[in-house]
Amino acid sequence: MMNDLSLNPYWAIAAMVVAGMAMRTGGYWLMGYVALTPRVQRMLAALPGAIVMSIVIPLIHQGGVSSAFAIAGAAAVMTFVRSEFLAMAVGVALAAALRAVGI
Amino acid sequence: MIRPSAPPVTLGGVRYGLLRALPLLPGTAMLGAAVTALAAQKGLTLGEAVVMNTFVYSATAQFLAAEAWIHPMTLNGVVTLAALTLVANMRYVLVGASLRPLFGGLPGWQVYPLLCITADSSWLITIRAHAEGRRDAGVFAAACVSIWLAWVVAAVPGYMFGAWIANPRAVGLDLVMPAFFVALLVPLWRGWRAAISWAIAGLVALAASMYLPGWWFLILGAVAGSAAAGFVDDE
Repeated sequence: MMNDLSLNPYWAIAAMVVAGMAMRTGGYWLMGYVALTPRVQRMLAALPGAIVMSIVIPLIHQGGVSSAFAIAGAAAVMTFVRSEFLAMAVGVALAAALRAVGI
Repeated sequence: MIRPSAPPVTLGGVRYGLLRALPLLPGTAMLGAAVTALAAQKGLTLGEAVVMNTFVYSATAQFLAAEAWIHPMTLNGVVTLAALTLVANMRYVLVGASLRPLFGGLPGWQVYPLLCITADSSWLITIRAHAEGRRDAGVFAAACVSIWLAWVVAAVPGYMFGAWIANPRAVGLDLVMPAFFVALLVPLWRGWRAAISWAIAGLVALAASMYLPGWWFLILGAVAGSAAAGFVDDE
């Protein structure tokens, strides 16, 4: 089947680059012609939160206790320290620690 | 009619942009390293990770790509990765739009390359400088280039570190992506009313993850949440 043909992975990267650059340049370009309505702005602004929830909720559902705690830990760290990297590090460390004791 | 502004590029602006970007460079580099470390774990080659890191330049898209990566690559894979990147980066439409009033008068060849290497941090520096009354494209240029370079430089060391880890689950490395995303979520909190769209996103994604293959759950959840926000009259 056509869909199972093996492709050079760099085609995937190229497609990602095109998609990314289209988004990064598109807003600026579009604004030269037409302003974004408040509704469209609201929708675009809501995207990051929606994406994150779409990843995290299914993950907590499948992931098990160590994952749930790791995610909660990351959220807590971020709330108080405001460092994505630290939040990530704590989340990862929590998961490792819990798994090390068999959870 | 409002004339689009064409601010100058001055050395003072460049210096200011660099000064504002400097404290953010280590964190940027560490995040970039984490992203390529995951890429190494998920089977990308060094070349693939470095090229993706340099030209996609999006932690969200790159994390998702690492998780969705398949080997050998197929057309399905290419389409999935492109769709994920599109959704992950769609918020940059707002970022670009917000920069039009600032730089719309400048020639495109000066602005568009910088737009391609704009990150949230460099965008914020630029917007804040403008809000403080600085009319200088040098801030934009310096912030974008320096933060992007920090990201690029971290790629190889990050990859090496990731390739060195023998047991990713024991180290909790599989939590890198979700922990990062949760960390992203925290500053986005806008109150319980706005959280309705988040809840809808989560529920749609959960349902989709149980019935649909691949990464559809993410795209559907994101679209559902976004649409919900569009139809809840905010503020």
